[in-house]
Amino acid sequence: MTIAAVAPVAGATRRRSKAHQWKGLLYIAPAMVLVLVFFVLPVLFTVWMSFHNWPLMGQPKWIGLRNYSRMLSDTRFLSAIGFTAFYTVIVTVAIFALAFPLALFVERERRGVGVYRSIFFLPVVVGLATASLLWTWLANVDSGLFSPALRALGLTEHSINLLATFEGAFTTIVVMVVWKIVGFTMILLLTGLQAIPSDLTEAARIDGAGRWQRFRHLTLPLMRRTLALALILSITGSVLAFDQFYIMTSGGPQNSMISVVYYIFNQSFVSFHLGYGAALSIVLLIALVALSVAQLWLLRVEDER
Amino acid sequence: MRAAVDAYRTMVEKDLVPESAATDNGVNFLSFTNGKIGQQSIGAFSIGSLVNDHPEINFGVTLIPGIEGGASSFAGGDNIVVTAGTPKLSAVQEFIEFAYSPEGQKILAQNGSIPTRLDIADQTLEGLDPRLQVAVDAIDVAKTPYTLLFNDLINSANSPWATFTNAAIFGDDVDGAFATAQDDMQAIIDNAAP
Amino acid sequence: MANATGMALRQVRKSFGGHEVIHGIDLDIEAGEFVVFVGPSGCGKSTLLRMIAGLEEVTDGEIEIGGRDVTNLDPSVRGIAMVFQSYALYPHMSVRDNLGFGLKMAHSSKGDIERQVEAAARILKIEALLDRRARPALGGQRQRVAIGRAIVRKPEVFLFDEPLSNLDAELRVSMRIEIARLHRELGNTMVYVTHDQTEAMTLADKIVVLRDGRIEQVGSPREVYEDPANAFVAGFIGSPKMNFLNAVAMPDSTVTVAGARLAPATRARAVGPVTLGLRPEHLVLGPSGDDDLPASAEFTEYLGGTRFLYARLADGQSIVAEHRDGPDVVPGQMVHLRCPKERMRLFAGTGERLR
Repeated sequence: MTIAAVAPVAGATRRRSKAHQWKGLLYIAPAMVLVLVFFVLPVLFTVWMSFHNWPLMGQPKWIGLRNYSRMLSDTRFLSAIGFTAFYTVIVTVAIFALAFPLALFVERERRGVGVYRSIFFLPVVVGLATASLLWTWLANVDSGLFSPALRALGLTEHSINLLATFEGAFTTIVVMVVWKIVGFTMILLLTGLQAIPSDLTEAARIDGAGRWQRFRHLTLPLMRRTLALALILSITGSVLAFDQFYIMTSGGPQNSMISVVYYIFNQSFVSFHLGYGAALSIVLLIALVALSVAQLWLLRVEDER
Repeated sequence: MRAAVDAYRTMVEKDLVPESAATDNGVNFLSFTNGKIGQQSIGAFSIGSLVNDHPEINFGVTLIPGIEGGASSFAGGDNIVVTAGTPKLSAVQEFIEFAYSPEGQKILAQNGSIPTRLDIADQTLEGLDPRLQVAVDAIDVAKTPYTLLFNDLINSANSPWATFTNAAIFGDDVDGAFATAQDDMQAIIDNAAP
Repeated sequence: MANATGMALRQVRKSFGGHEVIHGIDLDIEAGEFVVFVGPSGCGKSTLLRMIAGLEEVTDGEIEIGGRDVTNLDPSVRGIAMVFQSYALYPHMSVRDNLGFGLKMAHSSKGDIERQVEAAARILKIEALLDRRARPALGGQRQRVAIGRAIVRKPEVFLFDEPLSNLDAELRVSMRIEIARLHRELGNTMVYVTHDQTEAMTLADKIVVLRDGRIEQVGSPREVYEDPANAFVAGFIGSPKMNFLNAVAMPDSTVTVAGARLAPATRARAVGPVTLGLRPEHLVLGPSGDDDLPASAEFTEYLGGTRFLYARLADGQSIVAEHRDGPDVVPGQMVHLRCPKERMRLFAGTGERLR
């Protein structure tokens, strides 16, 4: 490589800085193209579809906002929202209630801490669909693990079909999701915990703050950013839940576990109301953005000056 | 229909139904083939597949018995659909005519399909497995529900029908199950009208 | 003197995983004394301070503060406050909340907290900062807040862990004076850890020189400088470092170094090799005679008020001399160095001081 030694002239410098900007654009172009092709254009097309009655076969017909107004009286959609909200709250609370103690447990350098971290994190690398299939088998009344085990231990008289009732199936799915996700949230929280200098904890100990007070007054406030991230990821994931209901219970028992995405899937690819499915997707997208903005605002960190 | 539901509920109460039935989503649709089941209510199309693919299975076929004697069945089927504006309409027509000809019917039956033309059914089934005859007999008593929304109303895993059968047979509120299914089906039909 | 309390360490030991790093320290600290732990990095001075604070467990031995055995007490009830090198301010709290945190944890009343925080702020002249978010821009201000947080606790003993290391040279001097003033005003017992001997010499009533988890010498700044217990202390205290020259003790109580014959005031116990210690600032350049050390100048450093001369003796040993007056020395020039005989120190091969 050679570097040409040219005496800098005022004009040349300006020209070079302009060329520099073009070069910068060139570097981000591939990313821009990807975002454009795989996000922006599909979303715009979805918006366009949502103003149509768009069957799988036959001609789409412009119906304006009728897909949107239909939602308001669509009881199945409203109950899907209710169920998704319920599921999101339960799962998020459950994940954090478990992930925080786990993170605190694996934060401290102790014998075999690497093993613990790996064990807790392992389910994360299993796909959600795979995990769902695995747990469908585990929960199978005849050939699975839980029911026959409960029976063998004498806790139940005969094998109970866990997935046959809402309570049983919902609990099974929540436990499965927590098992699958908690390691990821744990790792996120762990990075937040490790970012807190030990000096601060020691200063607080000298100041007489007990374990709980240190957690409340030091750890939690210093982890706001991490918490915001973990919370947004957890809530977004829960709002978009689909695989586990589709695979483990087919939305049952008696359609009691149809999430919003499941309902969109059914409308689009079972009933072939592609326009209505598109409208539902747009509403879900807006709701998710609103949720995330609200969380960021709640957990905002004022600029430290 | 009430009586039929009650009959099923009685079977559940008497513990004649395995626990897994409540969550059977059709994955083990033709569980007959593993030889572990004694009796299964199933569509007549499976006669053909059992005859052709599982000659080792010894089975008999009969119509679904009614609560107060007699027999019942319902008939449906697969459709041949022609897209609008196809330039190959004459070829399609020729194929359909062939499929419904005695020769075409014979070929279909030999491969396990049930004869669709009752008028030449005797001729079609001649020399084939006698158990296929039951399917032909079923058409005499069968009812045929007809809707363009069959998948939405009946066949999909989340259809009102699927929900209804589960709720009516395994649930606590039979009247509610009937009412809900009625409402849900009506709502789907109403929404489908453009 | 209010609140002044003495302290004592009795055979204090610390092991990390079977590896002992503090080997049985015995130390008495008088009420109101300013004690400085000094030593090279890894000597255990910070570990020892953290053991006093209760942040490190004591493996063996006993720590007393004000006659009370605190060895197994929680840090918060030992009557100590600590100032960290990193300041350790709570970044999400205002300066006021930082200062009042300890009192809040002790469930003091709001008015009480208010009063004590204001009082501490007044002592440190940081009233204007009180209602700002933590993290004042300047390191000096942060360190004042950190010290203020210690004062609010009204401790019996203040602990400082290299509090000035993160400051620039100028601020370090002014904060050093500030800490000295604080000690005068509060009169508390203070224990201060540093690797900077200037801080140690200027602040301490009592210097504790540590090496490898053992005390090498305890004494006033004057004692450790003028009367070092061994070659390590003599070399560690003083800048530039003391010259250690290989010498031979003669039967007539003189020593020979590089062919020259010197007569220290103390005499070696036996004839044979010894180490002769000469501080650069005690060496004087002069005309040749029969009681001097001839050396050839290699280079000099000019510091304005003083000059350091780096030279080599006839047998190749290097020597540093500080001189203020007289003409400049040029490299290659022969110089003649003299040292008053009562300033000469003799050490055995083991480093032990010969008196």
